[in-house]
Parts: sequence; structure tokens; C-alpha cells
Amino acid sequence: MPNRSRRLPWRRCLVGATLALPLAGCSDGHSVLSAKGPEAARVSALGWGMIVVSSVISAVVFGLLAASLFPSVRERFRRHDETALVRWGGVALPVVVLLALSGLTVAAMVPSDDRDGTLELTVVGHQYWWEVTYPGTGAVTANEIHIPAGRRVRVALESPDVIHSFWVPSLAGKIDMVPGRTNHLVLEADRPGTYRGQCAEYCGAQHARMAFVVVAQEPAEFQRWLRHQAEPLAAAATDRPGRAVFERESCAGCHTVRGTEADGAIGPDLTHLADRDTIGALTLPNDRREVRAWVRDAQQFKAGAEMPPIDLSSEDLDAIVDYLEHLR
Amino acid sequence: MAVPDAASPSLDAVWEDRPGIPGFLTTVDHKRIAVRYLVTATAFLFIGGLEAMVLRAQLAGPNGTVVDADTYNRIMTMHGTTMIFLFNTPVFAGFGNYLVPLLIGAREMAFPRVNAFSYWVYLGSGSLLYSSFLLHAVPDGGWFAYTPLTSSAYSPDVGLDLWAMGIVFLGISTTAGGINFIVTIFRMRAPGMTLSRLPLFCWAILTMSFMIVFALPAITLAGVLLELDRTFGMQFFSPAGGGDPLLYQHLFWIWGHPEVYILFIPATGIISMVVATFSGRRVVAYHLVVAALVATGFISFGLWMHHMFATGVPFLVASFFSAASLVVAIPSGVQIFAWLATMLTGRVRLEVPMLFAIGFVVTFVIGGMTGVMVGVVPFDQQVTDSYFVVAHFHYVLIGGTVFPAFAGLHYWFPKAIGRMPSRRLGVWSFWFTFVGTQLTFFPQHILGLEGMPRRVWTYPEGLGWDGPNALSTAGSVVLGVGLLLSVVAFALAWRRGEPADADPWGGETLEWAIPSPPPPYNFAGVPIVRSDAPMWDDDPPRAITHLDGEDLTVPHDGHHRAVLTSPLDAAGLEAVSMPEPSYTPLVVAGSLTLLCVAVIASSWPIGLVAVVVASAALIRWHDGIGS
Repeated sequence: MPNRSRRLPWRRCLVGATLALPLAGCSDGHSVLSAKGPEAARVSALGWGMIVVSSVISAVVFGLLAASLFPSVRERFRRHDETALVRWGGVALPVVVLLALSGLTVAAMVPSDDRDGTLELTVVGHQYWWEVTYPGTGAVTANEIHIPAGRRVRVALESPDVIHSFWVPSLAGKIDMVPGRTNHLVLEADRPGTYRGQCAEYCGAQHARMAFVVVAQEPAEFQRWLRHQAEPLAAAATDRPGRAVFERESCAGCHTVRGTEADGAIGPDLTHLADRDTIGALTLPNDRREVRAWVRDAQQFKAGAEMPPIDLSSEDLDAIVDYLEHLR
Repeated sequence: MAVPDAASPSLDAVWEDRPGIPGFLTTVDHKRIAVRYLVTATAFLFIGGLEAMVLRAQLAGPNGTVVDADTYNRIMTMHGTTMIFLFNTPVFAGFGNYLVPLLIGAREMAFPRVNAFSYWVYLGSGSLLYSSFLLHAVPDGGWFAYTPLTSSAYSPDVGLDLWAMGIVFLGISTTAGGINFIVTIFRMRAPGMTLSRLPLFCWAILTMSFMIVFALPAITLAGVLLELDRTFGMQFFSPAGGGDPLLYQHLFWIWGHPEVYILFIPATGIISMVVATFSGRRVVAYHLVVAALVATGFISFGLWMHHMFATGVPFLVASFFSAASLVVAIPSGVQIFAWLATMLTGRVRLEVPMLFAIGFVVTFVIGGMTGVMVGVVPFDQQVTDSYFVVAHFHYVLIGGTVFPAFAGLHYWFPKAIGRMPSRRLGVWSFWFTFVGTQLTFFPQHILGLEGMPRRVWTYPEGLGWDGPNALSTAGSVVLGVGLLLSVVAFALAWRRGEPADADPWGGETLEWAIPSPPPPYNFAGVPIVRSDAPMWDDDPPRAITHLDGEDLTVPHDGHHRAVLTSPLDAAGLEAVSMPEPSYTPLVVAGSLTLLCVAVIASSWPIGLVAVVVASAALIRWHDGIGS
């Protein structure tokens, strides 16, 4: 397997997710209530608070409901002004609780200030994958969003086709990608790690298979990654035999490999495909066997996706897979 | 009982429908139409439920193989569409139709033929939507059909045309029904039933009807514009042509949020009646409850953007809609505590309808709590479009409408059919339904918080979603069995249940004054109302039998005669002749259905025939109505 050292440890989770391997410790990578960054932390604190308060209020209501089944309790209630309960429980209680909550809501909505050195990147939602560009660097990738840990990242969200929604539960709330508009969202991860995200607005047949990961790295490591992603075709791949097949067959009509004739704009940029750990927006691990099966007939994994089945000889298929493995 | 129900047999002869098929097709009896609504809506509940079972089977474990992505998305769309449009709204039209005239002491709805027409249109639009299965073009846009996914570019088959036309067409039925309720409640109340003595169920139906009249135009517009975009290449929702996909969302939710309360408010009306009867006392704080109903109706028009908090809403706008979303919890709180106070100061009898009412309170309170949570913008941006929201609206809709509907069915079945449904089966049905609901939907809160988006046809293992999903699927089976048990109880009772007397539960309102099942003219004389619980007055309600020299208990020129009163204090009696059975409602509704088919099929000859037939029938609409 090429380039194992570059792979990150979270790979086990993703491969596990697709290959049914047992795994542990991945599930907190995408939970609203275990925030991994300041944006999500504000919300999880509010969320826990609301869960506690509403549990208490529910318990009181259920208690009164149960009490009404006991004649002895009813006797006690009958001695009081009967509308008092409605005035206190039905009007006063919600007014107080909701006013407080309203204040907390507005406080939590106030956008945090733009700090110096905010990184900007753009994510474009497509049916059914994510295009990630780093403006001013030339770096383009897909379904894997690298960010520096501990830094505020402002993400511009766009869509050329239908409405998608960008959601990384452990880092921030979701914002829709609406055709004709650009929305923004702030991502910040406290620590290096991998955080799962997924499309949250029903966007067609394979809405379920439109996932991605955010990879937060140490800033220096991130800079190295970004510089590498901005580079064109890797030297090792220039004269692989599969390159000619790739450019001759329909692949190049949809995919770009920077520094070659392949400049299609329909599917993901594949210039550094081998650096990525999954293909098909987290549908399959980026391994020889899966890539081969995917190139031959992506529809069996993701019916309704744009990528058509490709009729290739076995040798051509092997050559393409070899070429893709060298796109580092 | 002093309301003379020993009317002359000749009154029966005038009011009774013709026997057999002609009577079935021409009837304008609000009770027959109501039973039709209830049976059809319940049938759609089980069709929608069956669709839900397919979805749950597919999601029972990771990488499910029960259905493929395309099938899942189509069934998911039909599940939501069926439950909201074809079960939930019509089931309360059914209750309203049956009960409003009985509760206000009237013989009929104000517009009996419009009433028949509303039902036939409902049946027609339901058939239109389900014809998509025969055409292998089931809509796949989700029940709110957001553009651009539903534009002809991304959803080219005819399914979405059927969806849009079906929804627009159904709107005619709902709107006509709403207007009918408003006029009936304002003009046909028994003398003495001032607005402040109007039963809470009628207040609920009145509020619902006004909301329908104001909210429905928005979805009609959304549907029409969508169809114009799809069939005539217009660009209302297409950014490339200067349109905006968010315009569709605004139009949809300007109807869609009031719609939630259009479903919920009549349900609370049922609960108020059931809680009063089985607590043996009037609902505490009647005036506050009425104020709460009306307030909910108003506030619900100021909430629609909370369905759009994730679309990139400006800060000030989001703050306003967030505050409004929290405020709407107050009137619901008033109602909940009014029922609690009623139970706490009454004498609770745990009959089957009351069990469902208690199940409603528990389930709805949980759904209300999560409802407040999703009104909080930052939290909503996390959980919207996740399974947390799926859990929330199923708690609100099953808790807030299915439990009350079944409470109502068990409560009024003896009145409508004249037989008692089995208590044993009813109790079993309640427990299965209640446990099934919690088991199905509580784990979905956890799924949402753990990052599972809604409307996914599959999910990989290893994300912590397997357990809650398995539990949810198991729960859905229990829930399905629970609802089925009630239907079994009704089916058995229909044929050979214990006969029910006029007032088996000891109810407070006028429907219990007349025999079970009621005669076709409901009340032989006009009951005189002196309180808000006429059946619990010290002496039973008396009745007026003679008006302006006319004996109301005998036929008058062979016409259906009913009594009108003034809108506010129900005084100033006036006897009028009502429309009698006719084929015209069926013919108009049928030809309009045909017109929808013609539009979808772009067939102008068929369209022309439909228009000509509809016009001819409309010209003869008033035939046979006495002066």
C-alpha cells in the first residue's frame, strides 16, 4: 500500500465504517454534545442546559398528571383557587423560563469577532460530493477539509446544483449551501483530530452518501499539506502508463489533474487523490481493490451519482488504478 | 331528556337519504360525510404507516438492503405527504364535520353541498397522488419539495407534477371546509349558545378554519409557481433566471408553520372535551383556554422562518423569529395546565379516551420541550435536518394529533355507530401505541445529537447509530400493532358491539342529548342553551318546536329546514330551507380531478371536457334548494 506513513490514524475509523471492522473511539467525532471547538461548545453548553431544565419541567407536569389519579391529592387541590395553577404554571412559568432562554439565545447568536489571521476557504456542494478550494493558493481537493487546529477558519459555502447543507456536528452548527447565494460558517477545532461531517439537506438519490471529514492539523503540518496540495502532478506519476489511458478515456472529461491535459470540471480534482483516505465522499476506502471496482462501475456503490460505469479492458483498468495510486 | 326526539316519522322521511348507491353518491348529511372523512383518513394513516415501516426496516441496521436509494426517497416523500396532507388535516375535517353541528345544536352544516364537494375533492386529490404508484413515477422531492431539487432539471418524471397538482387541488377542499365551519359556527348555533358558551372543540375548529383561510393561499401559490417552473420553463425559483430557491421555502413555510397548528388546534379541542367528561367537570379557565387557542392561531403566522434558520438568515430576523417561536409555547402551556387543573380538581375516570388523552399530554409535553429547544437559533442550526428534529415533530404530531384522534374515535364511536367498542382492546391499543411511540421516537433524539441527518436512505456502521436505530425500528412495530388494535376494536364493535345509549360517558355537550346514532336531522326541536355545559345543567335543556307558526318537528313542504341565529349571541331565530342531496358536488369534484389530470398530461381536449362538465354542474348547483 503506497505512502502509509502519510495516512492518519483516523483512517481506521473510516475503513471500519465501510468495511465492518470493529472500532472504538470514533463515535465522539460527530456528536453535537461533545464539542471539539469553541463554536460547537457554545451550543453544547446551551443544549445541556436546556435538556436539564426541560427534564425538570416535564417531571413536574408528569408528577401533577400522576397526582390527579389519586383522590387524596385531588381533595387537597380542590381547596385552592382552581385557576391559580393555570396562571402560575401555564403563564408565569413559561414566561420566566422563555424570557431567560430568549436572552441566552441572542447572546449565543452574537457572532464572534473576526480575529487576525482568519483562514478563508471555500466549499462547494455538488450532487454528491464536496469541492474544497483554498483561495490564493491553487490548492483544490475534495471531501477532506484540512484546517489548522486552534485557528478560526471562515468557510464560504456555495452550490451550483441543488441545496446542500454543511454540517460538522462536533465543530459547528449547519449552514445551507443555496444556489445563487454564498453563505458563511466559522469552523474552529481546539485540537488536531478528525471530525466527521455530512450533508444535512436532502439533495437527491445519494444524499446519504455525501459525507466528508474535517482534518485539523498542527499549523506547521497544515502549511506543509497546503503547499503540497497546491503543486501540480507528482513527478512519480508523469510517466505512468495509466496517464495516457486516463486522458484518452472519458476520465479526463470530468476530472482535473493539474499539470496534465485532464481538465474536466464535473467531478473532483484528482491531482493529489492518493493523499486522500476515501473515495466517493467517504463511500469507500481509497484502496486499490475499491478504487478499481469504483472506476469500473461507481453506480453499484452510489446509484444516481454522476460517475458513469466505464467500459475498460482489464489492463487499462489496472493502468488507471496504478496512475491514481501515484497521484500524490 | 326534554329535547323532543320523538319526532314524527315523516321528518325522517324527508331527511333520510335515498337507499343504496344513489344515496351514497348524493348524500349531504354531515354525519355520513364525516364518517367518510374519518374512514378515508384512517386508511391513509395505515398506508402512510406501512410506508414508514419500509423506511424503518431499511434503517434497522447499517447498510440496509431492503430498498435502494431511489425507492427509499420516493417512499419517504409519500410517507410525509400522506401523513400531513391525506391523514392529519382530513381526519380533523372529519371530526369537525361530525361534531360541530351536533355540539352547537344544528341540523346541518351551513353549506351541505360544499361539504360533500370537499370530501370528493379530498378523495380525488388523494387518488391523484397515489396514481403515481401506477405510473411508476412516485414523487421524490421530500414532503416539502424544495427547489431546485424538484425542478424539472433534477426531477424530470411526472411524480412531482402529480404532487404539486395534488396539493393545490387538495387546498380547494381544505379551504372550502374551513369556510363552511366558520359560517356554520357563526350562524347555526342553538339559541342561547353565545360565543362564550361555545364548546372548546368548536372554538378549536373555528380557530383552525380561520388559519386555513389565511394560510392555504401560500401553499397554493408555491405549488402553482413550482408547476409553472416545471411545465412552462418559468424561473420563479431558479437563480440562473433571476429567481430564488428561498422564495419557495418562504411560501411553503408561511403555510407550513400555521399548518402545524392547523393540525394541533382541533386536536386540543378533542382533548378538552374528553378531559372534561372523564374528570366530571368543566375545563378550568375556559376563557384562558379560548384566549390560548386564538393566540396560538395568531402567533403561528409569525414563526415560519424558524424552519429556515440554517439558510443564512440575518441576525435581527433570526432573533425575531426565535423569540416568536418561544412565545408560542405559552398558549400551549396554558392549555396543558388547564387540563391538569381540570383533572386535579375533578374525578378522573380512566376510560379508553382518557388514556389516550393522558398519553397525548405526556408525549406532547416532551415534543413541546424539544420544540422550545429548536426555537433557539444556535441549537437549531445544530439539530435541524437531523434525526433530533425527526424525533421532535413525530412527538408533536403523533402526540399532538394521533393520540387525540384516537381519543376522539373511542369517545364518539358509540355516538356515531350506536355501539360500544371493546374497552379491553382499547386499553391494549393505548399501551401498545404509547410504548411504541416512545420506543420509536425517543432514540431518534440521540441519533440526531450524534450527527445522523434526516432523509438518509442508509448509513455506515461504526458511527454509534446502530443501537438507537434498531430500537426505533422495533418500536415502530409496537406502535403499528397498537393503532391496529383500535381499528380491530372499531371493526368488531361496528358489527356486534354492545348497544350504546344516548349518553354512555356522561358528557357535557349537546351531542349526548340525542339518540346514538343520531337521526339524520340530528335535533327534532331547537335546543335552548343556558350554560357552557348544557347536559350538566340542573334541569336538562328544553327545545323550541315552533318558530313563526311553523312546527319544526314536521316536514315543511318536503324541504330540509334548519334554523339560523345571529353570529355573536345566537339570537334572532329564522327557519330556512337547506340544500338537499344532489349529484352536483360529485360531478364538479370529479370533473376538476379530470382537469388536474389534463393539466399534468398537457391534454387540452380532456381539459376542455372537464371545464365544460364542471361549468354545467356548477350552473345547476342550486337545483332543488327551496327558497
